[in-house]
Amino acid sequence: MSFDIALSAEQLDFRDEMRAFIEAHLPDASRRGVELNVASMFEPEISRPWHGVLHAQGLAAPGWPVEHGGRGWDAVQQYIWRMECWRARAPAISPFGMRLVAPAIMTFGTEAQKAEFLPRLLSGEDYWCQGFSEPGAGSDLASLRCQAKRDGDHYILNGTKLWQTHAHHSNWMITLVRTDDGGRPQEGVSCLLVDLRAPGVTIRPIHTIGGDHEVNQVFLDDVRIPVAHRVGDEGQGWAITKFLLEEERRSAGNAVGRLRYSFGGLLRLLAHEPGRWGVPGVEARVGQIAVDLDALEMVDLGQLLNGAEAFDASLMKLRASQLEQAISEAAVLALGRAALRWEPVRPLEMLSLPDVALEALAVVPRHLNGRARTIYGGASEVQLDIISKTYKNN
Amino acid sequence: MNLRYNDEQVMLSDSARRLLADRVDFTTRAAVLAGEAGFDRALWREMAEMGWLAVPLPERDGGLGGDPADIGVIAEAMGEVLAVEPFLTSAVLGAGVLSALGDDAQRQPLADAVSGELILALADDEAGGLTGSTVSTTAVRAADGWMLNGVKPVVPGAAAADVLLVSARTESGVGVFCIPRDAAGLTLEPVALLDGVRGADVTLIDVRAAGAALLGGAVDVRGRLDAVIDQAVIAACFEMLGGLSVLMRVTHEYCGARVQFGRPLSAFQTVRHQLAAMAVALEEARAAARLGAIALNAQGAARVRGVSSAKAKVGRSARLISNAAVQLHGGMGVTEELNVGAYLKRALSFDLQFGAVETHELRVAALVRSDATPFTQAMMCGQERAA
Repeated sequence: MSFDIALSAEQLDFRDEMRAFIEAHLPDASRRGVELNVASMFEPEISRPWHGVLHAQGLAAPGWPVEHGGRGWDAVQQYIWRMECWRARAPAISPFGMRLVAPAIMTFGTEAQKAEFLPRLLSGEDYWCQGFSEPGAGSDLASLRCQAKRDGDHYILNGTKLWQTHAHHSNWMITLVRTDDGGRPQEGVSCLLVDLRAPGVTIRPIHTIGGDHEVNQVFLDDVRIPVAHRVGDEGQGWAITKFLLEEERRSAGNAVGRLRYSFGGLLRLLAHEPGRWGVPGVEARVGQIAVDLDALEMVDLGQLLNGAEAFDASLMKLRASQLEQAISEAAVLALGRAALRWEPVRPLEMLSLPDVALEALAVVPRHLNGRARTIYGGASEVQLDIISKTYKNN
Repeated sequence: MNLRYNDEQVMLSDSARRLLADRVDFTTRAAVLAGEAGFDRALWREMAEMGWLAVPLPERDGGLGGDPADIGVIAEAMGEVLAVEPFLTSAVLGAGVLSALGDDAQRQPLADAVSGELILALADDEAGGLTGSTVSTTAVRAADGWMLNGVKPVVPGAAAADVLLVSARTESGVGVFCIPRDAAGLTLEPVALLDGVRGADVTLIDVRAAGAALLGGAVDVRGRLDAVIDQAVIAACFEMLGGLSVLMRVTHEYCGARVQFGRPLSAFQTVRHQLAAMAVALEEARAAARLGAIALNAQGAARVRGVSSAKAKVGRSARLISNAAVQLHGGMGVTEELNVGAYLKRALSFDLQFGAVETHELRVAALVRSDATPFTQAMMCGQERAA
């Protein structure tokens, strides 16, 4: 058969080897934390223990080149690894560090920056957040106003960033700032690595409707950042951002892996109470979700094998976020009246209740937090704009 | 792992599309449909000469042993031009049933099917249901063979068929009988299907069939018959993709050309977003069809999952794309004169045959309910080693 998604014997061996490793080393507390997670990212207390295990085995960033501490795995191996991690409900580790900072430094950074930051990123000693958005610059990121004024071999930063996930856990922030006011908005943007312990940095929590504190506002008042912590040239920030978006396109597997895990959560919920499958609309929704997810996984595999361009990345972001919402909504529906019960304690595993009860209490917070999925990372409307400009017509 | 067409398939696609673009014209479609056969017999002969009718059949029956992707290439090319020649009903489904169920003697006529001289049609499903075809037609033992009674309404491809393959209940289960169109007691009442193609209401009143007309003898063939129907379902999915890609292209072009309020329609974001939603739906439908093609190699739950996912997803995408195409063409979209409405009708016809979107989604839901594991991990996680 010409079309084929079967793994080769070597790939199956690799898969089974990784599965056995994860089974043997994933801390139970991390797995449980993932199952009961209601927020968009996993808390460091869930991901750090796993990060430590991986780092000890040289597996913290297996896609990195060997010279930086990776395994130099190819795209399919990385894909298999990601899917096995999601299957086992292992937490994603340091996502901003791995997906943003590492590619930015490896491609645009100086040797000194690579030597300084990559090892601590790899070990988990540094925990990163993303300082891009601002109160006045969400979808329109180029209108950012945070200023970086040159003063000798430092920049002085003034301004505020918004929606920094886990800034309150982080010691570093990768930031886009304005180093030049002239020209088009994109032209004066530079990329800086900001030490969040520097004087002048204030982090204010933002509480969201799911009852969680994940995101923050970061205030920068005369914060001094060494020029040596600028990544790339002055004015190259926008190009770096576009490069990072392209890098993101090449990391197939995450969105679909996460969807399988989310779908698994819904199905576990349905299995706990026999009546839930019979709630009107639930079976039909489960069928539609299953079909949509199969199609999206096939799209993902196509991108893995045949490459991904802007259209493909936007499609994946748009549809994965919509499917996550379809899953969370089906869970709320299945729970029915019981979903009215609200539990404010976080994390949920702090409560002395059986897991079956905790999984039910997680449904509504997860659904409410999940409304942000179609907003962050490029809102659905933005993705549709991109898709409308990039779809091919043959 | 591969999700690309190979060089031969690309060549086949190019040559098929070139031939069909040259021979099939929307402006003459109505005349062809109203003609003697309801399709272009000259084109059918050319398709046979090109070897297309041999692609779905195994070499032992004079075929080329094509796989679902090869069949899909031809089907997709036909779908692009809304071709009405009976490739799906005769070459894929009818001939496929004869090939899969018949013994050596019963399969002899397949040579004539490959050459285009013999048109076959399967008359099976009577009402459609959640678990597949509904068959009430009966076959009871009679002198020298069997006697068949029943009704097969709205059978696609039957009006011009030389031989009908009729499913009926025997004492052993479901059997398939070869009934020539001129058999006594058999009535073929031509009916127009909603997309213009000609089908037939088939009625059997005391139709006699020899023992040798029962394909493969007196055993239940429901499972094997369904396996051939699965092949046709996937071929139909690829045919639908052809139509959907044309709708995408013509709607994109129209929105770029049609000026209202001093600007082309695509200057308006809401129009661009509808086009984007169409493009997303098409990409997902393509991916689902490939899963269906791959699943034809599998058995049991894996096969049902892939085939049903394909039929459901292509169907849902077809609804979105064909409805949006009409919408974006404004008043012209609902005229007979424009081809867009004809593609909408084909999308409806696609959905109504072999189980609609909701039927297949519920079929998949039943699989999920009975065993959740394959759905809680990536497909590659569930793969096992070849024995």
